[in-house]
Amino acid sequence: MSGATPDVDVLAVRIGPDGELREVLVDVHGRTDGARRLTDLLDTGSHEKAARLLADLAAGDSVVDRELVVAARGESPAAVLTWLGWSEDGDAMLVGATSAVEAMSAYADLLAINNEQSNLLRAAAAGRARERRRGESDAVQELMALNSELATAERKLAKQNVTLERVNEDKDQLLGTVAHDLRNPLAAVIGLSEALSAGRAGDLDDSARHVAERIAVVAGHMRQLVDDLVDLAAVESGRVRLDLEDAAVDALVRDAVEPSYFAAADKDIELVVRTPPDARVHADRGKVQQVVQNLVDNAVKYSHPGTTVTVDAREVDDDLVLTVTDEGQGIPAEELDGLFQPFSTTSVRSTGGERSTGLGLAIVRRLVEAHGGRVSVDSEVDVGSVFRVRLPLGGPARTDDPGGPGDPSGPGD
Amino acid sequence: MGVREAPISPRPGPGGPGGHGLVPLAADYLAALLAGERERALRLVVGAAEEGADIRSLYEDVLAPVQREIGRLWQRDEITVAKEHYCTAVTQLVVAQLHPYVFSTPRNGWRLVATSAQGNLHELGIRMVSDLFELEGWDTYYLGANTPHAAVVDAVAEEAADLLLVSATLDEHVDAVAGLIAAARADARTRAVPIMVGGPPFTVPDAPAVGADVVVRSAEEGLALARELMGGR
Repeated sequence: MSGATPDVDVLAVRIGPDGELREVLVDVHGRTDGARRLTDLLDTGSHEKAARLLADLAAGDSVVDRELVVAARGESPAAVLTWLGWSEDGDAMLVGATSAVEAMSAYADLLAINNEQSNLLRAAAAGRARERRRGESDAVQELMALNSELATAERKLAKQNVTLERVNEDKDQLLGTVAHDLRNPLAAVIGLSEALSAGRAGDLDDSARHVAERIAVVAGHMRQLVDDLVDLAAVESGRVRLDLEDAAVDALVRDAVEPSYFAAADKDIELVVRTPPDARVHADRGKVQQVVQNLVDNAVKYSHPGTTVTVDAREVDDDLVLTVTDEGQGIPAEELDGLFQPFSTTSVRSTGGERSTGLGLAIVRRLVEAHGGRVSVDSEVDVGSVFRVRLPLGGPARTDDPGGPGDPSGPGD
Repeated sequence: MGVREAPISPRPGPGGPGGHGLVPLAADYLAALLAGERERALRLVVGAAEEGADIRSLYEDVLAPVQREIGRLWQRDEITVAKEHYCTAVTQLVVAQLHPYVFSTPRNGWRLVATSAQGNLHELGIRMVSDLFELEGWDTYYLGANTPHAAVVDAVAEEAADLLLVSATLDEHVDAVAGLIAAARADARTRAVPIMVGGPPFTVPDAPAVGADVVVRSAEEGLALARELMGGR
């Protein structure tokens, strides 16, 4: 028939009380070929539902909007059809179509024309509304397929993620263990080489004493590296426990800066500290001091003699803002991105031959984040750098994960 | 082995959603799904997991019975296909949120590849069954329903799987399951790997024979049979 749209699914049948097929009125897709019973048309999963539908019809009820899955047959795939039905002279009439609207339309057509003409319903079933419905149906299928693929991909990623987390934990544990086990022998190397250069193991000539001093210096650097690694491993593995207390900002900052005065004086660098006299912060005093110390050490390390390093603490809104400003070499803009990553390096060199482990700023960032704070840097080559730490005065916000490393979303600096 | 007594009543309880004889959390979850409250549904189950609820129990006593109930409501014409799809999508989202718990259980050294018959887009059930195997310590590799037979067979060989798990939802998927099993049997690398099938077409009397080693009617039966199979290896 011209104008037929075989993709529109319409089935209309007359059935006996036990579900036997008495007459096929409309069958667009040839789904009834060879079928003897209603259940022959349906997926097994819909048999129970069909039995209930027949029972309702037998009781004299009309049924509408029943969704039954018709089985695949020939070229036609399985499909959910919406059915309506009514009793007629002891038999029942059933009309199923791709949607309730189509079923209604087919029903109206059935009433209007005789059975011999009923195969013309296919043409009546064609139309823009049905085309649109088919488009929607295709879209739903496509959406389901996409959702399935997404869910499968998600499952795979979640599994891989857990594996990676395990590997990372193993790495942190190994790092922590190795670093910890290196500390004691290094302390012995430092102590013994210092004893050697001080002549406590007998007189040394200048050359031998120089070697002993170099051993102590190199071993000292190695100890710093090991200490930093231990700190970083602890922070990375989420094992940082914050010992929160109400601390006076003034004393906290001044105590943290004090050890750097000697190094600054040696390089003729002025250290200026400005703090609010009465401010208090709810924080882990030792960890915040480590943050300040690392930033001040860095500033002194990379500043030229005759310049000033300024440590400034002030309350801004509900935060404590700590800035460490130097008049040093500055850091090129393209090197700022990875500055707070472990083992990051820049083209900037220390001014007094001091060495760097590349871990200090990574530790700073993680300790600040553990407090629910943020760290950032502004820098201009040949002008200097400003490191800015912002900590909530009231301490880290409570989370569902006590003891966790704070807001994992991080500052994004 | 027998099927465990389900914690829900097969008959609808009075009072509509929430009165279906489900455990209280499942009833709340179902009510949230039917009300279209995705966020509440999500928080109910994920919140329970965060508070230390047994993950297996969340699958077996909450998500699975609720999905079965959703299917039953559709069978009774109480909800439409669209609603069923919505509920399934939300449960999929919940399952995704539970994955970090599922994948962090200790391993038992066994591996399986799971897949759904080609063309079967009702995959949530088999994915959840895979998760239950994972919770028991299996390393599971789930391949989507659009994976060709040859690729599934390759995956079984490459992952050195101890078991291949295949599901079907509609009768029309049965041929695809049989085809996959034939492909696995024809390949020397995977010929000896036991194959387990499940899904509605296999739960009826006179279920079609597809050449599987084991046909199971529930996840729990599948887990128990898999343990038996592995015990003999």
